[in-house]
Amino acid sequence: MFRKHYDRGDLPITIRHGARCVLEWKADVDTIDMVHFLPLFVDGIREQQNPYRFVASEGAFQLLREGCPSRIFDCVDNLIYPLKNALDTHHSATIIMALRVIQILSSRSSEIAHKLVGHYKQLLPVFNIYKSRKRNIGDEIDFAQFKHDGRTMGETIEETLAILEATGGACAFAQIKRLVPTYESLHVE
Amino acid sequence: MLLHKSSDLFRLMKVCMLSEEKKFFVSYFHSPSNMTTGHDGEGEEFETLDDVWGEGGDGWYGKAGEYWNQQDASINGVLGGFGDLHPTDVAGSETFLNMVFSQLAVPRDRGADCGAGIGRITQFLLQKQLKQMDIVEPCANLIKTAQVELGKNFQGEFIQSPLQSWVPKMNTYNLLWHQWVLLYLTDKDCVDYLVRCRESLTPGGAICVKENVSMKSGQFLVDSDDNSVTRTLDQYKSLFTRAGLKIALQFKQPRWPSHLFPVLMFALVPIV
Repeated sequence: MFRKHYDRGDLPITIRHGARCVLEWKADVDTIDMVHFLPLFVDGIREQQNPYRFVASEGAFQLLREGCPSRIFDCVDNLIYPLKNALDTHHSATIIMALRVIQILSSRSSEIAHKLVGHYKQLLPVFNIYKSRKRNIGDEIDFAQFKHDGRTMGETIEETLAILEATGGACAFAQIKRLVPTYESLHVE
Repeated sequence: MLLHKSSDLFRLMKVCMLSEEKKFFVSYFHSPSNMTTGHDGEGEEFETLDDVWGEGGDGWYGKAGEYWNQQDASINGVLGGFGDLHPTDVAGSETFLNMVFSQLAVPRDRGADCGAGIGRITQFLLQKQLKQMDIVEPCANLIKTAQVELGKNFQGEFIQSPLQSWVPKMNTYNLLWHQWVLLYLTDKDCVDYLVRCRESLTPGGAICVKENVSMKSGQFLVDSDDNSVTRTLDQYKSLFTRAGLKIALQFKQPRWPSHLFPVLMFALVPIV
């Protein structure tokens, strides 16, 4: 879906090539039709090939970080299906990307986080498969810990759940615990 | 007969569970700080935290000051030899701060980094998020390094004062950041200090606390090298309540090594 739109030139972006590629918007982020474009970009994070992958992930993250929370709130329902598709790929880098989207989404505003609670049933079950996948490097120094890359999937999942719990309000913890029984929280020692 | 017995057993279990639950809630909400016991890792046991501090708190703070005067004024030094954890720590704090700003709508005008050390958190995180940051640090050696590290363009005051005697200006700060510093204060000083902090907050402001918390077996731990106390979660909660503050957000530092104390972040707002 994303690929088709990109090839057809439907997306309001250009790539400025260089040592590090930069995504530029042809219109102001505040004026972009969020309900239409945000689900499209999130759908594209499943792509394995560039430029689709770069455009989709960069576009999604920029819209999520810079967009107005109330406008993001309007399209939360439409984001669940693409996010679930991304989690179902069972491809580690894609799952990490989907987790990052969920993290940013739930920390943008409490309305969004509360609305997400209702969608946990679609998103969280996959976490159980990868939650225990952590790296053990003994007492060596992990030089890549600041990169949120695929090698630390288990930690990223724990981090995501902690953010969901902190932002999701009173019933978030019970819902998480129901779907991811091995999640340990501050409330249960 | 058998059925009768098993239903009895079931009832008994249910009663046990209920009483457990009740206990949990009681300790969760009303735990006084002297319910827990602690030790200093060298075999000495303490009944209450007051036993640790003794009669007067004055002698208590001397050792912490001495300890920090001897430490290296570097990232590795202020992290007690765990310099590798600096990026993890900053990333966790950034995630938490984003939540604080978006969920609690804290203004971004002025903040203070209390017990700042060499200004590490201000340099890598807080000065990007707030317009003006003040540095509060008792140790002369560390605050001098902070002035060098933060450079000439840094907007903000350097206040050399220990927290137990620092009186922040009324109605001034949007955000007060405390990281690994409340562990040096005695309960009484800590509550008094938090009350002063509460009064110095602007409307919509928040106090952030990031501390080691002892989770295992509910016991606090005393470090006699630098005279610090790793409190339990209940002890922190009771301190906050006594200071008229409530926890608005609570977040556990992600990606933290399991052999270290878990690090918890709290955002505190005044109880209205």
